[in-house]
Amino acid sequence: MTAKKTIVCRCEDVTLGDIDHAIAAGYIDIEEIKRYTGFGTGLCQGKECMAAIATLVAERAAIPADHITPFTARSPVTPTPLCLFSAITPAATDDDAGPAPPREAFPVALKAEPVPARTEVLIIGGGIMGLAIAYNLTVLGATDVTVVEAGYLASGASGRNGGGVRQQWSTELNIRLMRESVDLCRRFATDLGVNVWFRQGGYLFIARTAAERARLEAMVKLQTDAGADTEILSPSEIKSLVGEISTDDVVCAAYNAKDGILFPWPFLWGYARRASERGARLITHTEVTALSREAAGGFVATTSRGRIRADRVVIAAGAWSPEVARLIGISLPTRPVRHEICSSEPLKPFLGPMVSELASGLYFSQSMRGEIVGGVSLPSETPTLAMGSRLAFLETYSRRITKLIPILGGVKILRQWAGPYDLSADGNPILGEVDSVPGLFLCSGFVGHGFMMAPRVGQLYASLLAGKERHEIFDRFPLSRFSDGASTSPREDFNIG
Amino acid sequence: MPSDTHSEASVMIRFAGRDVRAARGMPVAVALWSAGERVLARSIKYHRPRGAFCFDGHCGGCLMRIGGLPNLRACMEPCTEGLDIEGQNAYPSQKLDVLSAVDWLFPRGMDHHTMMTGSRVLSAVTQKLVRQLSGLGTLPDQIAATAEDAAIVTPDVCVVGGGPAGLAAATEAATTGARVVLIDEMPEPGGSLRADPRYGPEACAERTRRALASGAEILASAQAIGFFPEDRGGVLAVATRSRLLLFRPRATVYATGGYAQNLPFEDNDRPGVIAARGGGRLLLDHGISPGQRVVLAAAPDAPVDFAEALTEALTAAGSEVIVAQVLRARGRQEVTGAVIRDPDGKERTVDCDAILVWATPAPATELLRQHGCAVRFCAARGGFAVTCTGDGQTDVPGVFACGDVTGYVGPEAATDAGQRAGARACEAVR
Repeated sequence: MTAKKTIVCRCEDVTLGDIDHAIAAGYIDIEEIKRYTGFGTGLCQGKECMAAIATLVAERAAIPADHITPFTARSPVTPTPLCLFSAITPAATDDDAGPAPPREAFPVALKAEPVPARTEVLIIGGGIMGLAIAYNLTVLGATDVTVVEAGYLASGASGRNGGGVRQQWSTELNIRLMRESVDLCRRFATDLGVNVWFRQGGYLFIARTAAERARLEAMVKLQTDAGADTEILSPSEIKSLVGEISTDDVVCAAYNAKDGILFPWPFLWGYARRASERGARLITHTEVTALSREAAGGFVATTSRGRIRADRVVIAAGAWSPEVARLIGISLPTRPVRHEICSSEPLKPFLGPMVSELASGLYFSQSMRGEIVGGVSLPSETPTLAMGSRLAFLETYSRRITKLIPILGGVKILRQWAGPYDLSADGNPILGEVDSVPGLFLCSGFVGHGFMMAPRVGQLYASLLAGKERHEIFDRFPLSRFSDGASTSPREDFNIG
Repeated sequence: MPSDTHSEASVMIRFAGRDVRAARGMPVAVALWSAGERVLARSIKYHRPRGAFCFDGHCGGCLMRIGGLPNLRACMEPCTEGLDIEGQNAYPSQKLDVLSAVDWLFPRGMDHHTMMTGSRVLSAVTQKLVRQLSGLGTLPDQIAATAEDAAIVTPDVCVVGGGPAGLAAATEAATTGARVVLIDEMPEPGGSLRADPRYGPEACAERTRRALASGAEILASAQAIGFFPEDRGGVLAVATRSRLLLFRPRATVYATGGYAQNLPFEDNDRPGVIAARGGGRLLLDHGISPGQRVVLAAAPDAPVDFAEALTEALTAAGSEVIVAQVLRARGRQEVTGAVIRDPDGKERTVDCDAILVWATPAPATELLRQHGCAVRFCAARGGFAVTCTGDGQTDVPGVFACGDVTGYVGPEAATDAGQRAGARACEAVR
């Protein structure tokens, strides 16, 4: 049984109609179309289809040839088994260090739409936080909202993370917030009309020492008290959950069956589409280059496409937030740290939970497409917004993951990429209005976990901006806590996986 | 005529539970084509029948489970005695996959973003179903052996790609006394020449001999998998079957050529629709006719000289060749015909057993882009072509490009460009 179809991407079964559909939905740069249709994400990584699709898009969306850029060339160029990377001797460091990593330029704007002259709320950053706030504002009836994004949707960390959603945290507040977020994730597909492939396969934190065991046990107690059903599993219980795991040197694991994973990109499309339908304006490929207060109150933002006056401004630019805040003279005590990640060839489902190893910061799960998606902590480096990939990452990742699941040694890596974590000193975010600049709001410093928290934080933030309920997070996590010297919140130290 | 470098000894491979005789060392995809097997697997989403397309190790057409490992390209795996070969993503078999109902149920394609989001119950069921249907292969049969330690290689010049441009660059560079290593992903160098009737395996062997005689080292069956600017001062990682090699050359010449592209006609993924170069490779490299009655579909702007040479060679080998624009491939499992438009504009249906597609190959620029080299889009030259001077210097010092990766130039011009780039690379390291 077959139907007539014209296939443009053989690996992912993307049809000519899918490309037209994406263009009709407003996605016209190659990176956006890749994400929206999935073309070029399969085994061949675009070798057979990218040029042909670029030609189609150039014709159909009438884009001049010199504005068309290819998507980023990810390594490995050919699927390569993990076991080969395990056999790299770790590099001697200093004298072998490469050149300073370059910043990645976002593709240029392909649509010449003007920016609005004024808006009530201007949100800088069209990642998950900015879009969740915009959407929830429109739900509360505040529709004079403009979101400005420097790149394409999903170009920052929101489009680069591993999609983990968990309730296993070390502070009561985060456990509570994440329990609420998990509920929102469960309903997201039907609430916003877009599939995000949220799958509650659980989250398994592996301990290899007695000290790690003690840490997990303390957390499990805290989580149980906060209403999250986390339990400690013995090695044999771990084995019955994931038969492929080697439990040699494994002491125990913490497991919560309600934790899960999702596919990050559609979250952004869902929020963006619904917010736009309700009147919010979303302007991509547009950088804010200056931001100042006006004498009469309010703000003026200069963008690469014109000036926008705004009554209030929210900086929700993830790891780019310190740069944006600096435009208006605010110094944010957060720093961008590159985090690398990779994806394997697609395999039939075998791995239920997200698995994480405390000692190494290794984490991995099996996506709804069947890929093993995961990362690992690397020795800290100078703060950078560079998003290049390193062989050293694959070496560390493959050693750790094949130690835990030896059968994965023969599984091939399809591609690797990186995104910036937005690291704060106490592991907690920076939220709420800036005391010294009334009308300026901050929403950053989520330490690589903003995505999973965004569904709930977006609601709470919209409620604050709309003058409704003020949640305790805005009192717990203000910018002023760093200058006061008195952090009012317990440190969140479970920022892995 | 079969290439003299393939052993004539035959082996038995096992495909879908039956024995198939094949030449030892012949790529699995070629052996199966020769045995009349066109449907090798099912596609990931619609479970459409799939078969080999490029025969060049680049597309995702011939992914199979081979020797207990998932998702291997059958066109890159050599036949060995008793080798187990299975299709993937098909129940119960490649030919009778009941899940191909998905293709039929969604004749206009499916919008997986909004599918079943209208109902909580349907949505929940869909999520479970999609999870079960996802993925292609299954886990390997056995734990992989420990790989040999990665080694660092520091030649003067590394040439990536053993087609006309790469062989010429390596020969030229080695002649001047530089230590040159050429890496090529296929078992034998030659690249596009192996599929081109104007050259063929003998010409490839001759050019390879010249490169070796000039002192160049050739590393075959090795794939450059990435340039990593931040590791060890910048390394080009090359994967062989048993280990990684980390190249730190003083100059790199990229002669990576172009990837075969398909054309957008209905059912253009039907097994039996193959790249024209794939057809050339079957005929010249392996002595196998792509079909008795073949439709050759060339893109309007594709270079005519290759299409003409291939038509002539196929005809000489006894195939009937119909040159036409293809509107639709026919055949439920594999190509049995085509709806074509003749040069005079008339539409008609013809019977055929293969459709050969010839479009300008897309420049293989990934590694150059990882170096930071600029590319420019030019549809007429195959897509995103790397920009460089006449002697191959890109905008990154020590990085050179020549041949079709700079936009399609064809084998003659690629040879000349390779010579110039090889000479220029030597000057750069002197």
